[in-house]
Amino acid sequence: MTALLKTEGLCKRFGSVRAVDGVDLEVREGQLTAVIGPNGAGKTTLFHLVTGAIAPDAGRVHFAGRDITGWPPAAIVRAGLARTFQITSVFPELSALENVLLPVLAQRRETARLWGSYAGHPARDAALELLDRVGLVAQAHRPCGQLSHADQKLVEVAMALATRPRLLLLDEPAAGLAPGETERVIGSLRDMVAAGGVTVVLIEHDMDIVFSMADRIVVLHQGRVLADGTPSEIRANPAVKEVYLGGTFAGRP
Amino acid sequence: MAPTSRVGIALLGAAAILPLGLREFHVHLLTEILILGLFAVGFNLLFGYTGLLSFGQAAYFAAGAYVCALWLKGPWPSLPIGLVLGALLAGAAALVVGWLCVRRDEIYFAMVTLACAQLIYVAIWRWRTVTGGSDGIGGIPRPALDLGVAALDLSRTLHFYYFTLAVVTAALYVLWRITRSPFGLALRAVRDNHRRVDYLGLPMRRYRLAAFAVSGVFCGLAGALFAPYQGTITPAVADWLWSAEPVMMTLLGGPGVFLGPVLGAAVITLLKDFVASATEYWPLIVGTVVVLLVLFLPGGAGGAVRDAVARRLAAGRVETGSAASSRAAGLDAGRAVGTGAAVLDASNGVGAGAAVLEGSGGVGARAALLEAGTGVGPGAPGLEAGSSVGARVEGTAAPAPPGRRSR
Repeated sequence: MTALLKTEGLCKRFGSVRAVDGVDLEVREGQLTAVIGPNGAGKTTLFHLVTGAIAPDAGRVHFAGRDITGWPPAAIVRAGLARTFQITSVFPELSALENVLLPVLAQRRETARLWGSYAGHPARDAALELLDRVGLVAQAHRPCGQLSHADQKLVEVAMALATRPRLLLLDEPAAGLAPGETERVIGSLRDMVAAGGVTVVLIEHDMDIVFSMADRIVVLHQGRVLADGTPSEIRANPAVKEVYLGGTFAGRP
Repeated sequence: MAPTSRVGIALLGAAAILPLGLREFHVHLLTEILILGLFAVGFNLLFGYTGLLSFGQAAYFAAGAYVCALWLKGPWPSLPIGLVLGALLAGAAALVVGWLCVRRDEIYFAMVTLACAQLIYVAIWRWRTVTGGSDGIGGIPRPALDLGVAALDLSRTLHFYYFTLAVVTAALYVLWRITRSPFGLALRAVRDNHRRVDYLGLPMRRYRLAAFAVSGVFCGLAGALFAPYQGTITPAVADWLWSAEPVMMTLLGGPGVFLGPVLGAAVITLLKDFVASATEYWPLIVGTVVVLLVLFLPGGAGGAVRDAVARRLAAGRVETGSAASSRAAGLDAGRAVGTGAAVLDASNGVGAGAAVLEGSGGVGARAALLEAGTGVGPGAPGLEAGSSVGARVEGTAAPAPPGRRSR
């Protein structure tokens, strides 16, 4: 099976800190890959490098057989690579429906149209269907900024799905959620993965979620790949145990 | 949507009947309000809808004015052609300048637009052979317009008013459609969270640039109307002071309401006229009024009118409906009258609060109280301020209090 996403020797330093230090990674189509590691391990920076948010100092990013290194973020999204953000990022004054409608219209290349109403656009049905998939149809007309944190996270997932990605990068989808809400968000993600069609890479600190959902786990430590394997391989890996149980990470859940 | 178009038709009807009972001078003033109103709405496409404060829209107004003036003084004076040329060339100028400006955000964007506008101002000032330098261009004619069935004698104030009304109405209709189009939705998204837009596959800067060019076209059209309206133009229409006019009008009238800037243009133009006839210290009085209005009506005069209408609609429905439906009705009203559903909800929370208390008790009431709580935010002067502070607090995308979710 070929890799959908492949990074080669990816490097990024901020001042004297090597945030990402020579990461080689392959993500295979159809799998759910989890990226874990202590705070500051370079997980989010890795996502930023892959999605074009920041340019790497060295290394290449290949997606679906193309070298996308240095592409602007919008072009990368159009190529089929979408993401969500660690700190939830929606359009607070637009309704939940409008938040999802925008990427649907963008995907259909309709957003350059200055005429015709977006409110009555046929794409609206597709947007409602996506909201339905994350269980938010009842909230469709509320301003997104007024929804609960969990609902905003789900809107963000629906927004990412609206771009029809082949690969979806989720940056801590359960961060800051109450236990009940975590189940709801993760349940939605599970359904989404089960429905197929999208490959997922997930950054997550909640080990229960990681070990129950992931087909494969990549452990980052100080900007490098410490370990890469199935959940059972990672569980048995002595280096990972050292970092997580012996080191600074012992207090994490 | 339907109430908005009804409001539009009612206003158009009023604008058509109004001059019949007025003296010529006041018809002249009304014409100016229409032109400046279009200027301000054109500016507000950038400010209110895209979240970009341009401090240089006078440059495109001036471009339209000078191009139209030169055309009217040329061998084939035709006002419609002058308007189209003025608007298009102003749009082209905006496209070039915008390419530089959209790379910056907020205050830096404002400064770059200001600097570029001053460049255009200096160019007009120095290019004497074409622009007349500091003397400007005088004696701009208003050629008669042959409509086939009848001829408009545009040199007459009333005829020119109706011509201006027709052009401004058409332009405002087009702008209104643009704000409702898929492109308009993209602009509102840029305003709301510009860093997010790229990650939905939309190159954010291109949308800003397109908004800048479209705004330039309509500011240019306003300028092109202004040249024959005044009969003479000077570089003052390119000056940064002239760029401040639509900013003030929009803040006063309300950037969140489509026709708010027109209301602002009316208030400022009338205020200037009436106060100036009474005292030579008129800028002091006008300035004071503007400061007070901006302080106590942060949503602008248009926002206050819209909110009052929305509250009445919501209150009417609370009487008949249950707690849940009143909440929905409040939101509906907010959506129907404009883009301000977010602003509305804080006050709606208070309004629906009583109904919620009666109806579903505990949880709902707490939700309503929390909403009211956000409304009366830090140091909010008056009720209007309260509701918009609430909206702004939520605008930072802070996690909402858990009690607020209504199911």
